[in-house]
Amino acid sequence: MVGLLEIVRLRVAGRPLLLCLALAAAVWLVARRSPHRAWPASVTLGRTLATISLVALVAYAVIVVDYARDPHYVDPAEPTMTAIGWLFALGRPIYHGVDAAERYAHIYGPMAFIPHGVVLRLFGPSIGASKWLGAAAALLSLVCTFLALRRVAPPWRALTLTGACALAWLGFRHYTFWTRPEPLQLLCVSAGLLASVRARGVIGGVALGICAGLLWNLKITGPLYTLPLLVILWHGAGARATLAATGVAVAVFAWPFAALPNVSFRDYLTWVRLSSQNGLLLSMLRQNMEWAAFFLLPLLVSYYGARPDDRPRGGSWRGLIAALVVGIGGVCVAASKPGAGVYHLLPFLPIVAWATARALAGASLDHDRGARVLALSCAITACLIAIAQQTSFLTLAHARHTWRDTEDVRAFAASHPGAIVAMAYSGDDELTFVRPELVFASGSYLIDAPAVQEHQLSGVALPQATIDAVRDCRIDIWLVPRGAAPFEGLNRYPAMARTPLFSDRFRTAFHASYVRDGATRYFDIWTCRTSRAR
Amino acid sequence: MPDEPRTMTGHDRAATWLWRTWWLLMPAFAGLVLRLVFERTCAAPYELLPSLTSIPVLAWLFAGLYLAAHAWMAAALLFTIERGGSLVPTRAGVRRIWRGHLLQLTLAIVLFAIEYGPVPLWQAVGQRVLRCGP
Repeated sequence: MVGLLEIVRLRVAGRPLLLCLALAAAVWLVARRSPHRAWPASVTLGRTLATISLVALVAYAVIVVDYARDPHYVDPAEPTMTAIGWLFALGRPIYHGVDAAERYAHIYGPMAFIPHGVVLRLFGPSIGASKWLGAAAALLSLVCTFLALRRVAPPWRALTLTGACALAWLGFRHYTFWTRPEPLQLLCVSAGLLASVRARGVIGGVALGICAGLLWNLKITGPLYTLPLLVILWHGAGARATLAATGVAVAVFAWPFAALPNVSFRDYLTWVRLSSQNGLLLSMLRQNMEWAAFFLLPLLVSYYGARPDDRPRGGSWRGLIAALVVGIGGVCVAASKPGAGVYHLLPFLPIVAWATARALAGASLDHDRGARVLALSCAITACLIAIAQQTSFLTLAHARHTWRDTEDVRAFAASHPGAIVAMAYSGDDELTFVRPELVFASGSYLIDAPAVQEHQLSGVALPQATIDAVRDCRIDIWLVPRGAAPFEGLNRYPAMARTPLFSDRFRTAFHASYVRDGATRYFDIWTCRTSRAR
Repeated sequence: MPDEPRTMTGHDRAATWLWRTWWLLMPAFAGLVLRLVFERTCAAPYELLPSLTSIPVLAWLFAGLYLAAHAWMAAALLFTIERGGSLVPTRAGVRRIWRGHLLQLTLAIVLFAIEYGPVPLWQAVGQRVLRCGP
């Protein structure tokens, strides 16, 4: 069964629209042969979708909590967020200069790291605390989505559509609750949606402005997500509230750069500009377009499935749809940059759910059998993809539950007080995901492999300063996954054709300065030949 | 009962817009799709036109064309649903709505079918029929 699901995941989980249309054709054939002309009946369909949504909500919550409770990451860039978040908490820069010895700068906005720094300060530095931030943001975003939906839908329909969001998110493994900016984006969009639909004058505008500013500060594409929210606010609370929202958003966006000495706008822009030179992947653009169409399918079905007289109309509806389409179209293109992907579209889902609820308000799908068939096919497709992806993800995540690498690293760092210990990378880098523990202990982070990979793609090689830092033993001890050759990893971007991540000069400098000096249970210890820590 | 399908007339602004923009977008999109199919068939199926798409200006140009063609197709779909009065209009309904421009619609659908065809299919064509491929 697991093997079959893996085949589904690999072969069809990336083609949701084609799968949905194929299922719709099959369901249509069944429906035409059914003795009941109205099959699938509107009431039965509603109950089926509500049941699926409820199960998805419960499953989502259970999986989120399960992931947060285990001190292991699954994605290589998750530890990066935690490590840089802790550096921020210590007053170190989030973005270093292009020629600096440190190699950890990313193109995420500062708010991708600041909340991690704050949480680690509040609850103490640990991988668990950073994981709970993503988990809490994801769960809270579902609550905000439900409350926003309640403005335009009865409780059961609001719950069904909230569950539909959870179901769609389950189709993306742990991307909506991992330790990266996406959960925070989801929270900002859903809280912003709640603010814009419940807005009372300028106060609503200020609330949306805060959410929008945070969104702009999470990723450079932030304004595209806020477009539909501003349109909703404009039509609900007027021009003054929208102006207030925009003003507050600009202020919130500018705040970390203006007020925090360790957040440099110039360096942030430099890294973004370098990354923008990487071009686009047309294969990824096609995938983004297909997913965007699939995500918008419920909206299409609910709008055109209703009788013409029951459909929403007027400037507010047209404005919302136009803003949504422009936002999604823009993100589709931006997310076809190497290293991005479909998951950049996920923050739009609460808005799509809200628009769907609005289209369904006072309407039903009794009118159109095709709409009911499409709705059912859409749900089955989302279920199939979610089950296949979660089976794969949970198998991978649970395999790490028994690892004691966190304790191993923590014990080693504790037994070497005063020494700067860092994680070296190798081809098999899963064990290096525990590296934030070393950053917590030393307050130092010289090299982040995902950042080096991104820099290399942008044409930025390791600078001389980094090679000098290694040659001069700025790090006393490097931990390398046992049996692996230090710094032998390859760049995984296809455009880099698997070139070595670390140059020969860098590796030569490393081997000239460090020597293997024992091992822990999980790691080899490479110590500076001249270090006092030996 | 669904609304009676309406036909496209010369006075229909939406129809005129669709008809004119087809000529603006689809020939270029057809060229791009055929080139991409060649890449999927005979070169790397996921790293399409790497030498061109790694140049930001050209990449944005291709993306703009690609996006605009999709916007056209979406507009044509919504137009057909709106005029047909149903999410799944009948074949006769589609013919009546697109009378005089059915060939344009068919060509656009064929282009999208080619572009969204499964990659393994193109790879198989490359390996077994054209004897090319990675």
